[in-house]
Amino acid sequence: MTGKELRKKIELEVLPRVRKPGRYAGGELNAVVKDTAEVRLALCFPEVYEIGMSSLGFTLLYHYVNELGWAACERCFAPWPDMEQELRGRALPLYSLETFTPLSEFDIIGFSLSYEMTFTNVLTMLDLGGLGLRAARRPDSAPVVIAGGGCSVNPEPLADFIDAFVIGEGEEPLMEIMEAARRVKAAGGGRPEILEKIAAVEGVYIPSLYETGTGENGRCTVSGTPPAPYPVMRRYVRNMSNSYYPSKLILPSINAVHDRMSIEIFRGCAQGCRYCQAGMIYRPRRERDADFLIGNVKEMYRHSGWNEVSLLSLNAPDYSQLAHLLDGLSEFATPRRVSISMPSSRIDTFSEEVGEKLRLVRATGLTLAPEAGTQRLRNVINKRITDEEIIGAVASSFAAGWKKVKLYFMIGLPTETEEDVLGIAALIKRLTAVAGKKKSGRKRGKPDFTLSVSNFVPKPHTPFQWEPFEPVEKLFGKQRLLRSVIDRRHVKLDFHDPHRSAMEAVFARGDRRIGRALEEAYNLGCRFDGWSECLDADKWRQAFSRAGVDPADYAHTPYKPGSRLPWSHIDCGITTKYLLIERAKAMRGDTTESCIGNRCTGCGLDCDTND
Amino acid sequence: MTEDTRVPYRIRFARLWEARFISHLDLMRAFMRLLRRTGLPIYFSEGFNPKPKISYRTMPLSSGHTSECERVFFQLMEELPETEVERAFAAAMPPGLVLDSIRRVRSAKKDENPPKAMQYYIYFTDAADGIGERLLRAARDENVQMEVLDMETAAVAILLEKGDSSEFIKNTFPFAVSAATPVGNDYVRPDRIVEKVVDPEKIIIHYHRRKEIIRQSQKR
Ligand code: SF4
Repeated sequence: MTGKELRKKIELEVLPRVRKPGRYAGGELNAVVKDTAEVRLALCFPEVYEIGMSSLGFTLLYHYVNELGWAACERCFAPWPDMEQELRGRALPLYSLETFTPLSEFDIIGFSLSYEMTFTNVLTMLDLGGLGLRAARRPDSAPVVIAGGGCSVNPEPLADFIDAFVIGEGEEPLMEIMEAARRVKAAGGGRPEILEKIAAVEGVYIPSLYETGTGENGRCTVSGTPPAPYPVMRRYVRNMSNSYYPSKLILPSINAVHDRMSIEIFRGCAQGCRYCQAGMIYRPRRERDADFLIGNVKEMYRHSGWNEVSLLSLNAPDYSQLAHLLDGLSEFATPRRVSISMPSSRIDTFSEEVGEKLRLVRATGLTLAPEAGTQRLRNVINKRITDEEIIGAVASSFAAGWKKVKLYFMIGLPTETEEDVLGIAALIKRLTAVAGKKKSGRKRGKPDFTLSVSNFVPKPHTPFQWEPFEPVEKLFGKQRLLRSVIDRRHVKLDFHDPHRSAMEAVFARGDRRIGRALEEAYNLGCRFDGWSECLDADKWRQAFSRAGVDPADYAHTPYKPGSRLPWSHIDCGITTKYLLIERAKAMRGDTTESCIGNRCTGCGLDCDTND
Repeated sequence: MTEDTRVPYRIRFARLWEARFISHLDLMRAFMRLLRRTGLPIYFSEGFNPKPKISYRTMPLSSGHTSECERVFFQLMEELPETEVERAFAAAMPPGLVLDSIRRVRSAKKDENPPKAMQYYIYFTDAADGIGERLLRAARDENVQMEVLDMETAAVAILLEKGDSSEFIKNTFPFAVSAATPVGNDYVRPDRIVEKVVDPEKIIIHYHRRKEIIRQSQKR
């Protein structure tokens, strides 16, 4: 069946029968459709269209590869179960949105992994795409399956299904992989030759080239002998200032989660929060040039007509060119009625110069992430913000007329006691009091507090990577405690499901054996596990037991500092020594300053790009 | 700036091909962005979240349906010749939305020629079991004018994809009817009538909005 025939069949027989058919129809403005290409890549996002299309990394890579005249990059998203059923029922393959080509006919399949709970969807896409699940069983004629993104810093749970992982930022290694595939194909080679070539690309990890062993607690560990590089070094873009950013972005035809111009003002973070994986694995902090961004937004607008531009980063006040950027953007945006937004804004941390310009930004509300309720625990996690600063931030944003405050906290953090949990409630009480009083004369609307409480999940390559995930019953107990002491007339409480967090912990800190459970779960019908309406705890229990994997052991057993971990063969550039020092400081309640402005704290990256 | 200059225009366009699978809301969103892409001096609503003022004022088109007669009213802050506005739109239309015409109208509030009825062409992949007869009967019960179409005429109306041949359409849909359903309080969605008779699980049905009937049509 040709792509055109498949398209007809899908459009006539399948799409009228599924929910949100726009997810599977393609044909968006600025989509890149190439009839011929030397190398074809299917970029796959294991979530629904609306979420995948909102991913900055995904769209960036899509357009970046398509800049190559000889390469074609097409998109594919996870089908919702109704679509999966329609495709299976008709024995139709999963296809790309650009040319309706079945995944099995591409040269390379590239998964973008940003959340552990999408892993069963990866298997769905491999299976429906006609690729088979296990990498070792794929024939030489099959495409090479690669995967990258945040989750790849612990690739082991997916190691049996993926041929090659790209560790770290994808732009550069993906280009090198495309080049290698082009050369191999020109010489008449296929999958085995491509894999052989890309094994030499820095940042590429090919599980089949490594040996496995048994480490502490019976965990599966990975070691390598030459020519397989050991350890595998994370890749990152050294010079970010004018690094590629698309300007003719594809416009989602159905409402995406983020339907706007998103610009990345810098990558990485210098703050050093100890629980935060992104803050560690995307170091160092690298800024984009403000003038480049302003020019980029003008182009983007011309090609899209989006009415909002959103400034993305891990901590906006750290951006040294913010005043200049806001000036430049507003000069363009204001007359066009384009709004500028910036998530997670704390007015009081901006410089005075920027502070004056913040009125240019459309404030939807204040988002604050103190993460812990007491100063002691905030010191442990290195969240250097005091009660007074938090109260000040809320007060000044109310004074500025913002009515919504969203606060993020975590429970189950290392060293946490009941006092720390109660500290959250005490802090909220002070905040609602500050917001409720005052206002000379003019009456303001009632403040609107949302309190989101998530469960701490220890993540690889952070100072807390050795810590256990807290038992689920304890987390439920802490949730009950909070519910009983927080006055819910003024505060909306939003808890994360500890069972789901426990599974995140299993996958985040798991080893290669977890893959077996994943496959069992997939066969039992688990899909879209990140969606509370889809997560099926019973099926997962069954899957773990069939695979002979004890999820409780994986979630709750601490790792011994210094021991070999399931992800020890992946090197993100931050030394274990630094992580251990940070861990020791955490246990003592000592903080570490941000490494911004030449105040290197010695994480091991030896960077000179951080200003 | 003379804030009060508001010049109303009406665009007519077709919604075909890929664009048929989006919802009405998504279509409106796409239209807002289209307006901005034209670079024309659009009139925006005031307030916290300014938006181009547009109105659709026809029965929303269901997802999956195609149409030759969509129309949207919008306003500019300047009087510009229709041809100039047309040119700006033509360069900015997204795939699947095809510009038909742009007219300067007298009022953005009142439709001078509101449609009285909508004519649909409805296509079926199978005409077995005397579907035709039963459809006509069901339509009569709902006061909707329906007649069986000659396939030569019907096929050219929906070349769903660039490059489709009318042969392909005729092979896919051997049977089609036209239905004129009155707009307004007694509007009956054509799929409601059809699905009383035909099971969409068994037969593929395609709906195409053929034209607006402006004047009260003569009784046959
Ligand atoms: S090497 Fe120093 S300056 Fe660079 S990220 Fe690490 S701590 Fe920060």
